[in-house]
Amino acid sequence: MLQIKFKEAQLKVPWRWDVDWSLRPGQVHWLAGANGVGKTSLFNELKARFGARGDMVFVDQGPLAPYQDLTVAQVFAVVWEVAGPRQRLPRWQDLDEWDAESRSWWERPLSRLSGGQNQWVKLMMAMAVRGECWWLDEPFQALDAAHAEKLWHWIRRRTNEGETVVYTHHGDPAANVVGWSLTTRDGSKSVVSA
Amino acid sequence: MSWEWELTRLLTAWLVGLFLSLAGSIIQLTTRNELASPSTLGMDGVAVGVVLVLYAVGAPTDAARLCIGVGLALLLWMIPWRWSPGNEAVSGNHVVLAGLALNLFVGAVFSLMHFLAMAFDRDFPSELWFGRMTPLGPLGVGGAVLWLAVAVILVVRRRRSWQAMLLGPAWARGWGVPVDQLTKEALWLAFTLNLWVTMHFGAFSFLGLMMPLVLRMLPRFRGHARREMTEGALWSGLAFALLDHACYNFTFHGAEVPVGLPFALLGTFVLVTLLLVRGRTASLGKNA
Repeated sequence: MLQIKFKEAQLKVPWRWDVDWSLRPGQVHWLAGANGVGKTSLFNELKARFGARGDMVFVDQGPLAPYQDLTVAQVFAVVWEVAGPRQRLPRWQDLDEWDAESRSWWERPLSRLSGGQNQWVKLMMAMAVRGECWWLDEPFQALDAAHAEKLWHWIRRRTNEGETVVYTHHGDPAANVVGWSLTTRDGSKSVVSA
Repeated sequence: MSWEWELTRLLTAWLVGLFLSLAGSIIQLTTRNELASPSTLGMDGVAVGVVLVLYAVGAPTDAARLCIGVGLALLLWMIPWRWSPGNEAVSGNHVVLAGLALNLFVGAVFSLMHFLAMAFDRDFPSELWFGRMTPLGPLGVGGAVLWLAVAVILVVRRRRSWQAMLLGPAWARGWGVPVDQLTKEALWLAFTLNLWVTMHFGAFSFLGLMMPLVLRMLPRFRGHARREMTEGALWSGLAFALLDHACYNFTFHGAEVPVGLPFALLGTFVLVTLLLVRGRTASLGKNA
């Protein structure tokens, strides 16, 4: 279990709440709230604190990679090379099997991908490695229904294997697969479990 | 016309090209900006300032260059500074703006000193601005080997980390790369390499911007940070040394063509090509 606890004063970002949050294996947490409530600020704070831990994987909303002329295949070659023992998905053929649709744009530079394709590549980069806890900032952004369904399938698989997934999303989550949700409430002065 | 090989000069020019290419690559990887170079980060300004001080004291010798280089490198290594890319307390753009301001200031001081030297009929190292190979004595060769050894150790030791940085510091951190320490080492190494180049050749760090861009035009180096920093730097150095030797051998009215001239023309061609090729996607110099 991961216990996240910190006071407002300890934060670098202007965050308005104290945080007291328990994450248990196999749970999905939905960090919800209106625009500007501080979901991404909290996400960034946690990324700064835990980003270097080997068992946590963060997928933020930033651009995919600095070098936009890299192709998707080149990006994954780097992922597999540096992931070492943390590699989860095997090489090309299996990844293709899992998402054959993306095969058509393997050789395309990142700068030529659509918003949704960019988002999917970023998620696949996270999916390609092992982790205990997954932090996804607006993962459904720009995804079409088919890829959103694939993402839900992946989240289910991860939690079934005892891993934890936390994601931020402004809209309604697919309630039937969320085992646990968490809402930031202005005025309550704390992040609480719903 | 006969072609003469001057081995010391060839070695110096090879190191100049190698060091600038390596410095450019590590700065562009660290700042996540393809338009970053030792020049845009102000390293040129500091290095020229150091050389001007050396000239003010007297014509610099190999011993003076070595002492100042090692001394500054040690000092910079020991100062407990840090820059955390990804958690932008200080963004890359801030550093670039500060660097450009420093370069402009040093440029103004350089012009003033040049003007005063002309007014009082004194010698002035104006070649600092367009480059002139300093023949290396035994101490100079020793210093060059030392610089090369430090660069090789730092690059080889962090080879996996550099590759991870291709995906940006956030991902690299997730793979367990000590991004802050790596950044410090990168900027330190780029500064010391650029200082060596400025002391032995001149303020030519725009080559550090151009060489990695040229390398990344070739499929062999695209997406291979480690290859770019090792094999790519070696090839860049060789290209620079050969072009410098061509300039050394082909004189015009008895005057040696400055090697910066063909390289500046080549740089113009490279940047215009990039502008045309990538202009549509607007990815050049984009921060992640």
